[in-house]
Amino acid sequence: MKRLVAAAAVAGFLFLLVAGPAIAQSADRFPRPEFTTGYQEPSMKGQPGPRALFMEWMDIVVLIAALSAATYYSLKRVSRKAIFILSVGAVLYFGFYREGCVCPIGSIQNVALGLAGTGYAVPLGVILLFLIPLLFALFVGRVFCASVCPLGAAQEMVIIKPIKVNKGVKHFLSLVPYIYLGTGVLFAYIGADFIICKYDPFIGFFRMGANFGIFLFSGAVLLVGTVVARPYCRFMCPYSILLKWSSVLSKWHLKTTPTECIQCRLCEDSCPFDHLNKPTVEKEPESRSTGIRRVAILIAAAPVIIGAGIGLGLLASPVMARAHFTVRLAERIFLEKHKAVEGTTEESRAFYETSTTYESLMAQADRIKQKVRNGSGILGAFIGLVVFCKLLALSIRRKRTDYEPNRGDCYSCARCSDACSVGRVPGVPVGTMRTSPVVLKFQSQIAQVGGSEQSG
Amino acid sequence: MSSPASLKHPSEGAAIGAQVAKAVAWVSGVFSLVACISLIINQIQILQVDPLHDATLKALKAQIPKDLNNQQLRESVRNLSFMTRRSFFTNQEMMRATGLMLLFGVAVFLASMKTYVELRLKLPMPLGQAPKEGGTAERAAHRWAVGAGAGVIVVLTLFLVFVSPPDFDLLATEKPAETAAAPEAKAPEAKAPEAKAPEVKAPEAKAPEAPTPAPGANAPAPTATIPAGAWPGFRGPNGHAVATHKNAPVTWTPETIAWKTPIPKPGTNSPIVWGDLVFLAGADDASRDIFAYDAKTGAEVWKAATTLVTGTLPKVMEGTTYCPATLTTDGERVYGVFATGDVVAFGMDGKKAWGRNLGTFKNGYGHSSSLIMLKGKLFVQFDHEGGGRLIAMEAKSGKTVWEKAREVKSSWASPILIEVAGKTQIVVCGHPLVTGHDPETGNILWQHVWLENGEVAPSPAFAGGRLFVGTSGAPLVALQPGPSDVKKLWEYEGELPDVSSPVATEKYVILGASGGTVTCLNAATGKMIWTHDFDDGFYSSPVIVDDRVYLMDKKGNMVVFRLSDKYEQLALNPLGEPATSTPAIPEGRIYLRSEKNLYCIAKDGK
Repeated sequence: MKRLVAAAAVAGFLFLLVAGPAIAQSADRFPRPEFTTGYQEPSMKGQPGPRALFMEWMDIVVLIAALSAATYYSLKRVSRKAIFILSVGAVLYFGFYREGCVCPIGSIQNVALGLAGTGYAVPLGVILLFLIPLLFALFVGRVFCASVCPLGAAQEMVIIKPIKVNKGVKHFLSLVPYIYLGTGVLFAYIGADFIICKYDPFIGFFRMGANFGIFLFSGAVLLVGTVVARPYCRFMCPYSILLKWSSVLSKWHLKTTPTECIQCRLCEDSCPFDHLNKPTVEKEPESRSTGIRRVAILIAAAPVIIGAGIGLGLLASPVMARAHFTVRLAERIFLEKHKAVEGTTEESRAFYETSTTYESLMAQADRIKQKVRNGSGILGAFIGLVVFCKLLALSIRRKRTDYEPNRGDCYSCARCSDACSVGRVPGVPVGTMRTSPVVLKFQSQIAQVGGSEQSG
Repeated sequence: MSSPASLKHPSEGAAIGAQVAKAVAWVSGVFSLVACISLIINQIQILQVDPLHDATLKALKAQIPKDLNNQQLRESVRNLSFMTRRSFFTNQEMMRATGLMLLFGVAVFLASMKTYVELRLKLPMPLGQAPKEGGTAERAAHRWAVGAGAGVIVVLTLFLVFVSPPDFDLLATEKPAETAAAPEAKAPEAKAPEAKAPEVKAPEAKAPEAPTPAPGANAPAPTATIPAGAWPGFRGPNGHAVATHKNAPVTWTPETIAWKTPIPKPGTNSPIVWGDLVFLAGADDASRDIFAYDAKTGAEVWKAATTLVTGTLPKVMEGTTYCPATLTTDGERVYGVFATGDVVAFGMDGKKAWGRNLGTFKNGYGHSSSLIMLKGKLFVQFDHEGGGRLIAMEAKSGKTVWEKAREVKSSWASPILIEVAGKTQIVVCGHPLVTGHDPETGNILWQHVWLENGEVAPSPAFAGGRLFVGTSGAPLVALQPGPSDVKKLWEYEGELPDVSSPVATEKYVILGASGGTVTCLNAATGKMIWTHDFDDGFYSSPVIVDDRVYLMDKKGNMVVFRLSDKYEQLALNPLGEPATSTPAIPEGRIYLRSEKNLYCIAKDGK
């Protein structure tokens, strides 16, 4: 019940935080004037064109329907086949048909830009695309990742022979999504770029056209994805962080076993993403006081870690600011004015042809730099806080006796529950053993192994 | 074919299926590999064939100016250009086709591989002790891994910072000492509009009769090179709403109205006067128009339409119209700004001089900051939700002379010109800042945060070296601007106007609130001297002529009262229809705009 209340509170807060300002801005916004110059826009391959309002709502309906179906097939029916079919549908609809845009992952940036107070009003459809998967995660876990996200689904298609990634490597890379999320939000907030979309490794495939570099990157991600299951989802996806924060509160999260785990261990290697937590060791060689001392030291060091993050962020802010075109242009003009560089560039020549003054450009760039400085400091603090929280979480001993999905990380793909031998066969009451031939065969093998061990 | 019992699908059919899937996977894999290599080769070719930067083509083109009559050379250039472009686009088409083949090949490869793996999948066989996790050593190793990840981030960040160019202080040239040499601010290649020397065509100034200036600052604005017969912008010369003459009718009757003429289009801007012409603006969805009337007869002399922005127009609040901002003129041209973002200039004969669009004003009501001019420059206050700007344009061309970004929100106030220590400043009132700028460079000379919450529509008032800014919901603040600083003198909290602007002399500050209260304050101390309540409120701003204040309520009743220590009403002149505009009072006449008509009162009815 507490978990449910917490989830509902977080859902309400999320909606107010994101939708409130955005809707308020929408209300104040002027329609842009239409300049009727007679010029016809050439058709450009790259981004999908504007979508009719009805179709935007259609996308929302499809998203909700897909999430509901994913919830049903993951949590209730435990049907891997249905989940795979849903994944194919997601790749076809949200991927190839919608050309990967707008997706909830990229919508983080729209929301960040909307909250920046630049006058950009986030369309309600985009807000809903951003919020709905998070709301589902709040109550039923990351069913969006299971089979609705086109990026996850595309990676799901290419998994052939997944290998286990060393847990150390996993923890080593675990900071990347946080940095990607923070940087993506910061860049969108200052109006520099939508880097999450720019470096989306799948959009090139969905649109059948991309920058060659991105194409190679996409190929590499998919190639790695054949043996390392869902590398983008696990080690890059910025939206996964928000889903993770939501999913830990979920009341009706997927469970590996519907009742009591019988320790048959059939699910042990079922998760190719290593999101199935195993029972923990029973006795620790380390004394309790040593563990408490470590936690205390870590808490005392928190300000230092966060402070270091802030310092690093501030140090990197001039580099970050150059992501903004105006800052790059201003620096170029500045250098040209002071004869620090030879010649001119296309951008600087274009600037000289406008009626914008030097002082105006410099003032504008300086304001952006100030904004980036503040943002970089916050980003540094955020990363510092994440490092601290991770270290703290790894310093606290947890007790687990059963195989359980990691609530935050689990994609609700139902592989583990599908492998579980405790009854989920339709028509068979929960709590009884499965009756399918495969499961029966497993059980007989276990019985044999158990018997031979006992006799040995 | 054997079918091992440890397989998930142990049937013979499954074993055959696995072999078929394996074979298909091989074929599709090789096919995909070939398509992939072909794609890469194609991409390399595309990189080499750049139709815009082809070296041979460039060399041929360079020869054309040397041999202008060589038709064969021209033909060769055309052919080569065509071939280069065709080659480029053919390669692109090939890439697309190859990409599709690759996608198909990969799809088949993946499907067959997945089938093969599924059919060869072994049943799980958990043996031995169940693995346990979360032990001390494991957690310690993971902490080290997180630490190593953080370390790599630190190293990478430091590396990036190290290899990147140093941070530049872009505002280095903005220091006051250096801005003195501002004309050289542009790079040599820049084709910036030159900051023109003053070119004031107006007749010699007739300084307003004002009280003795306060020490260190002067009340009158000698920058106003405006004839007494002119009323060149919103609230007259310099935007102070103080006439530079003493001669204006006090009382009028229907018989003393010189003329009345209907205004074809709605607008809430105020009339302006120069010579024999009276100007105002009217607008609707079709066009934004400037009208010129004969000052003596009221006959329409010309009308000029502005349609820079067409199609869907920005929304403005009902009643505000597309033209709440008042026009301005320097006697050579008349200038207007509309809620569409259009800034336009027309000659005194109605011929268009120039026009430009500044983009949509993003605010809740529509743009209403009026224009003001000084020495050949037109100043546009552009404060809206998209960020504030003060723009100085060259009056004859409309080109930007300078532009200053302002950290403000929307504002509906208008700029005024003031004189401090012998130098003119342009004062711009916004939310939350009121700022004084150097009209030559736009540099901020001083600034003061005066507004925390609320909306600012009243323009500032200035007299006796004191500047007054205030709006309903915030106190009225008296400031003493200096050449490069500003000092706060006092605050007054009472019923303040939210639309009408205050007017001031060295001794008094007059406020006409929307609720109908007129307040007179001591300009030196901020103490209230008197208040007087009227039945109707005021949107129009008060104007001072000699020792009289002219103030029109929303119903169109013009009250005239004396500037003194007690309220003394001199006249109450009903217009007979609602009015919100501020009167133009050049010497001897009063021009009033009501909702639908323009009036001229030319003689006193006494």
